[in-house]
Amino acid sequence: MDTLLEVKNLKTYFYTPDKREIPAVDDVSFKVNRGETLCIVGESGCGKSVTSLSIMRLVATPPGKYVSGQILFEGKNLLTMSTKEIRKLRCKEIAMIFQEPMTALNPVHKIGAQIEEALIINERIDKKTASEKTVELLRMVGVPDPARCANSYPHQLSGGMRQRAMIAMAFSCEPKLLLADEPTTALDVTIQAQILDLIQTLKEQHGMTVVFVTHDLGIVADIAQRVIVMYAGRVIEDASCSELFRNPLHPYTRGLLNCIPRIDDDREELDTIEGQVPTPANFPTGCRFHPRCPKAMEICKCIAPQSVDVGNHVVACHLYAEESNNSVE
Amino acid sequence: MQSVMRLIPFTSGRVIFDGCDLSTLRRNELQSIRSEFQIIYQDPFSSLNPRMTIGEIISEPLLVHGVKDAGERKQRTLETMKDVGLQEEFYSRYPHEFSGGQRQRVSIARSLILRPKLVLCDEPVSALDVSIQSQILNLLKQLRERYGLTYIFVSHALNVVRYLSDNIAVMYLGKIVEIGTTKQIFESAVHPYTRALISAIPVPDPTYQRSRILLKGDIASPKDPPKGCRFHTRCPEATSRCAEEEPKLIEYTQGHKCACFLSQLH
Repeated sequence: MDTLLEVKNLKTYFYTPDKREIPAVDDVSFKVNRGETLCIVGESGCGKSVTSLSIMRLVATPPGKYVSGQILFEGKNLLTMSTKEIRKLRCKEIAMIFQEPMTALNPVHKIGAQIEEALIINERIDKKTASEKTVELLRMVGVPDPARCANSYPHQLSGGMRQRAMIAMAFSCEPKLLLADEPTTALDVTIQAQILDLIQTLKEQHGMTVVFVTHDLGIVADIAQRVIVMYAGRVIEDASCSELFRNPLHPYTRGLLNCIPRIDDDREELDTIEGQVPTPANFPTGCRFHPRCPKAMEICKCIAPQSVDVGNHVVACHLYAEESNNSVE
Repeated sequence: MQSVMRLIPFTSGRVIFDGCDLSTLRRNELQSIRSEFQIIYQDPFSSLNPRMTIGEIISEPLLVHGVKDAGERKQRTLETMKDVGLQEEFYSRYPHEFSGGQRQRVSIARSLILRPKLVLCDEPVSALDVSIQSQILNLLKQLRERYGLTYIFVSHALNVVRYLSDNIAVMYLGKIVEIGTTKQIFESAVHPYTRALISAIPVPDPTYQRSRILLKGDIASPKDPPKGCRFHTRCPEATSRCAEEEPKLIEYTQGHKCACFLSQLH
């Protein structure tokens, strides 16, 4: 299949004023095929947002630093591009929508002006055409009164409408890749359903590729074709959506699936993953999940497991490393 | 919720707690009865005073309610900390040293130290990571059994609500639109809003057969709620009557009430 984006051994670290190293994204690799929806799931501090910001080259450097690795978009390495080159790609080729539309939109400019700005810069069209196209875009994302919306300030709109405006902005130049960082987390459940539906529709109509960052496995099951699970800055599992839910391999993925209360189960007690989610400043040694893992072994404490492919299903866990070694022998 | 606690004044109506009308109580009477109902807030970062130690935070209600002996306060604090799964050595540490899940345990300990009858939980797990949510939900359930607590649990996550509750009231724009047992709400919801809400919950299973009801439009502003049924602007089954007349909350089946003309046809 045709790869649109490939992230190879990406390390994005942060440095504190006292020179401590924080490995927020540590040796992350994955591929996204053209036209597919890839979900990145994980809990807070797992590096999912930093990964998507790295793809946009939006990590502030310093304190951040792209330590090593490559991000190949249509074969070109985004990390070695000049600022000028990357600016040409943003919005036109890769666009991003954020979790909190209130903080992502500029509060002192009207919605219309903010979308027009993107159009004027990237499409080199005049202001009149841009404002016509803006209204058209807002209509396309399901804003009921697009002309009035274009003439409103962000604070005058509801959360759902703001998120639609942001999607219209991201979509203004029909990007090939849409990065969505928890775009529905701040919204009500019924509005969330509308926004997910909108992203799916736009994706299908325009053959867009979507990288969707979320902590909600319910959303993943709903929209993803492929899923990568991140924990403490690393990818611990990578599989197709149906495979991941049918046959989760990593103890963390299993734990996560079992601890969600579902609307169709009647358990008296939920399974839990003991302990706390580690913060990037204090990642454990070895396998970073070992202090919370019910199946941890001696080796897990000191040696980080390599990713092994067990048949279109990649997992980074010592339980399976042995299995694949045995099968090789 | 804040009205029940009488943290904000209410316009009209009454709140009756254990036979006692909270709306007519004086300040000092209110304060003494507040020891019987406590609250757990959503955001464990803004609900704990950053300049107080964990021990001070948890024991403060005792001080407010007249437990003068410091030794007793400390002993009861340590007992409660144990109940909610906090280690003893956290007693003299500060909130910033802890993660969201542990802070929420502190918040729970603070609400339980007076052994209240009623605990109001305002979205207690929505700010937490998924793997921590289940720890806190299990804890809330265990504590309910152990101390015979009654919870009012406010949440937008219906899967969480289903796990913990016996009865559910669904609210829309300041009104209860449907109320019933958990079973009634999940298996035979009548109100179109409840049905849409249930269908909108993402289920972590790609093979799950969903028939999602997509609502149009936005939640109207509470400042200017629509006339008639407040939901009619988004309701897929609205009729002209819904725009004119407000449906009353009427018993549909035993213990199951709904404010919708649809349910009142038969």
